[in-house]
Parts: sequence; C-alpha cells; structure tokens
Amino acid sequence: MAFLLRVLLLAIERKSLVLVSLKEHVAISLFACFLIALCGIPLGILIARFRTIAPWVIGITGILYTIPALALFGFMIPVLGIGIRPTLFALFIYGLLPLVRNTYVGITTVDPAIVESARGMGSTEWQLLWYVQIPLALPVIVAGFRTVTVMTISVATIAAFIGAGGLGVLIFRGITSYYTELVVLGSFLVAALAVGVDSVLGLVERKLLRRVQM
Amino acid sequence: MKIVIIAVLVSGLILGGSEVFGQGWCIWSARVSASETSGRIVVSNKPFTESYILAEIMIQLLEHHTNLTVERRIIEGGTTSILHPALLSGEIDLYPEYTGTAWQEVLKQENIIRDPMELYEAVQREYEERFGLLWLPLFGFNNTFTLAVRRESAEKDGLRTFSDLARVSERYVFGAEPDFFERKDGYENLVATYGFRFKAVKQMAIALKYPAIVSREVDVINAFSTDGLLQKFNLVVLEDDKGYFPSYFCAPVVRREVVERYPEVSEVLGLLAGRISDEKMTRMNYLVDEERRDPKDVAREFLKEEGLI
Repeated sequence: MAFLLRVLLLAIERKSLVLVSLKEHVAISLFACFLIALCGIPLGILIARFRTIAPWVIGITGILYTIPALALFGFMIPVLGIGIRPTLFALFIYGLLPLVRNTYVGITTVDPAIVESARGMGSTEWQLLWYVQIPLALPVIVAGFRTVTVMTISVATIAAFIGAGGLGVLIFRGITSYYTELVVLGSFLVAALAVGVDSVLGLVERKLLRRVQM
Repeated sequence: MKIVIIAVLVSGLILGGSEVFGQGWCIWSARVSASETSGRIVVSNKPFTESYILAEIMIQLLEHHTNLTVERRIIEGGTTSILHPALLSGEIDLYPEYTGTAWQEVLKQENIIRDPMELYEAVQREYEERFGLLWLPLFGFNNTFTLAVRRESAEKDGLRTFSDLARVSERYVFGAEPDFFERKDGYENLVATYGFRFKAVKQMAIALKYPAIVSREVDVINAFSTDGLLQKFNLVVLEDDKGYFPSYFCAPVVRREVVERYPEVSEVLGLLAGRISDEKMTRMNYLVDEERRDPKDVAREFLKEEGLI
C-alpha cells in the first residue's frame, strides 16, 4: 500500500515527464497501428487472392518479426537515424505478420459452400472477395487488429532505446537506476493504455459485426 | 551483413547472460583454495577490459621484480560487491579499485568529495581503519563520466571544456543512456552546473549511443573517460572544468598482512604510480576491445615501453 502511494506521489512529482511520455507513447503506437492496418490488411487480401505468393509474403513478414529490436536499431541508424522513424519502422514490421496472417486465414477459411454458391450466381473473383469473403472474414481480421494494437502499445516501449521517448523512458530509467516505483509507474500506464484502447476496439468490433451479420 | 550483425548482438546477449549465471559458481570455486601459503599472492580484477589489463600489468610486474608466485584468480561477474568481501576474507590479496566506487559503494558515503586527492586520502584512511586494507599509489588515470563530441565539432567550435560547450549548446543534441537521467551525478545537476541548453535531449540504449553520434543523430554524449570506443570513433573528450563528476581514480587495494609479510609488493606496485594516463589507458582498452589483442600482450608492451620490465 505504501509502495503504491509512493508510485502515485512519483507520478505527481514527475507530472510533466509522465504526461509528455504518455503523449509520445499514444502518438507513436497509434500511428504505427494505422500504418500496419493500411498495409497489412490489403497485403493479406492480396495474398488471399493470389495464393501462390502467400507463403513468400508470410515467410518474409515472419522473418522480419523475429529480428530483435536492438539489433534492428543498431544497423538501421545509418539509414533511418534515431527517433520516431526507426521506431515506427520497427513497430511496423513487428505488427505486420499477425495482421497479414489473420486477414489471409480469415478470407481463405470462409465456408467453401458459400464461395461456390456466389460463383454459381455469376460473381467475379473481385466481387466474391468484396461482397462475400471479406465481410465474412471480418471477425478474424478485427481480432487480428486488436492483437496487433495491444502488442504495439506494449512493444512501443522500445522507442526509449532510440531517442523517441514514450513510456519506455520511465521504465528503462527505473530499471537502470534501481528505481522500482518508476518501473511500476511506466508499466502501469502502458498496461492501462493497452487495455483502454483494446476495450474501445471491442466496442467498435461489436457494432461492426452486428452490421455485417444483419 | 544483417545476419552477421544480428548474430554478433545475439551472442553478446548470451555471453552477457552467462556472466551473470556464472557468478554463483565462481564465488564457490574461489573459496576452495586460500592464499595463505608462503611466497604466494593472489591477484583478481573486475569483469571488464580495463581491470583485466591492470591486473595483467600488476601480475607481470610482480613476477618480474619479486620471487613471489603470483596467482591470478578471475571471479566471473566479480564486481566490487564480490571482490571486496573476497579481499576481506583473504581469498584474494589485491585487485584494482576506483576511488569513487569505494567511497559510494563500499563505504556507503552520501556526500560527494569533489577534490580527487582529498577523496583518495579519505578512502585510504577509511579502508585502513575499518578493513585493514591498503590503497597503494594511484595509477594516474581517472575513469569517470565525461562528455564527448565528434572531433570536427570540437575543432569547428573550438571546444575544449564543458564550459566551451555551454556557449554553443543550443546547437547541440545530447544523447545518454536511461540511468544517466536518474543519477545524482547525472543529467539534471550537470545542466544546472554548466547552464547547458541543448537543442534536444535523446534517451537511448547505451549500445546505440556511439552509432548515433557517429551518424550525426546526436552531437554530444556522456561517456567513460577511458573507453576504447572514444578512440575507435574518433571522439574528443571535453574537460570537466568545474569538476562536476566525482572522480574515479584507480589504484591497487591490497590486504595489510600481505604488505607486512612481503613489503616488496607495495614497493614494486609503487613503480606504477602516476604512470598510466587517461590516454594510455584509453589506448590499451582500445587495443583489447577493438583490435582483439590479448590483455597479456598489451600489458607486456606497456611495461616494456615504460621501461618497467
């Protein structure tokens, strides 16, 4: 209890640092999610339509996914510098795999009977995709996006490795100077942010699915 | 190329981890034999390059000038919190220690003594009274925090000291690792002391600090004054002209019984007094860290150049 009180006092004492870090964290992770959705969903659709390239795309995004962040930053400094750009790049490549894969799996696992009947009614491949497969795959795609969002918010702490700020600043300062209250404060805010954004997306998801299923 | 870099970093992480795991085992192994047998002295060091080199220098010097059998006992992960107790219990007889570390970590003193010699004398006095340990003369270098800039910035803006940097700090981006922003002798008080107004301040992982300054993403970083990387990346160390950072001068710490029994130990190690400047230490760290030279060879070359062996 006394510990939590110290965390709270610390948050008040370092108010400006906490607020700036929180703002940076929100901006970085949400912008990264936006970029991931912008590329990941179309890419997933594309490989569902042209299935021969699917293993390649998923393989490559899978390899990117495994590169440790610090290594990535290390060799990208000459190209991307430090700060927001390498951070977005890292979050982007980490978020791509789950979303591409979920989109692909969602579309390719739509009931074949439904696909057949749509074809039987004379729809083209693109019509099939747009009016049948994507709407039916939407729950899986949205689930993938929610995973990516939560993950990105927590992984965005690596921004502090490379001068882009965010809540990772509090966490890494706390860890390297044995200041547990600071670590807990930073982690708590990251967790709260992730849970908050996820529940907002949950609401959106329910609305969206109700419309699709009507 | 990418793969190679990743492989290197990953293996670095694994090795770093194993150092931590190895700690427990090695403390145990250090207890197995004692150094009380006659004509025998056990030298140890901290687990980083500089300390290895210093131990080698002392070992070779003692072997050359005395009849003692010098045993080297490396305690993996053996930082001050392990070496100091090992010294007290006689498992080791001497190791190189830093005045600032001894004052803060071993003696747990809160106040900061700015004057390096005053600090050395205070540490020396306390160690002898409390622990029966002797501080031999200082090697000469000071491995403290400092600020480093690219050589061309130093030349263009005529930077030699921290105060010079304060004049032009609005044009400089500062980068440091997280704990520098939380230390008592860290960022906040540094800025207050010198009136720096940096254009931007970037917190980053310690491993990325040097790549960042080389690629001009930041212009000034905090650094350890004898780090071999300073030489590798052609950085210039600025002078802390207001004496802001506590000093970390280095000297051998040895058990009093050892010196009483073998007075030649302190005489011989006294030959090193003031012989190792910041530049010489940086150079030796560079040779071992960056050119992958053996600390033994680097130590021998140093002793030969100095005419000590």
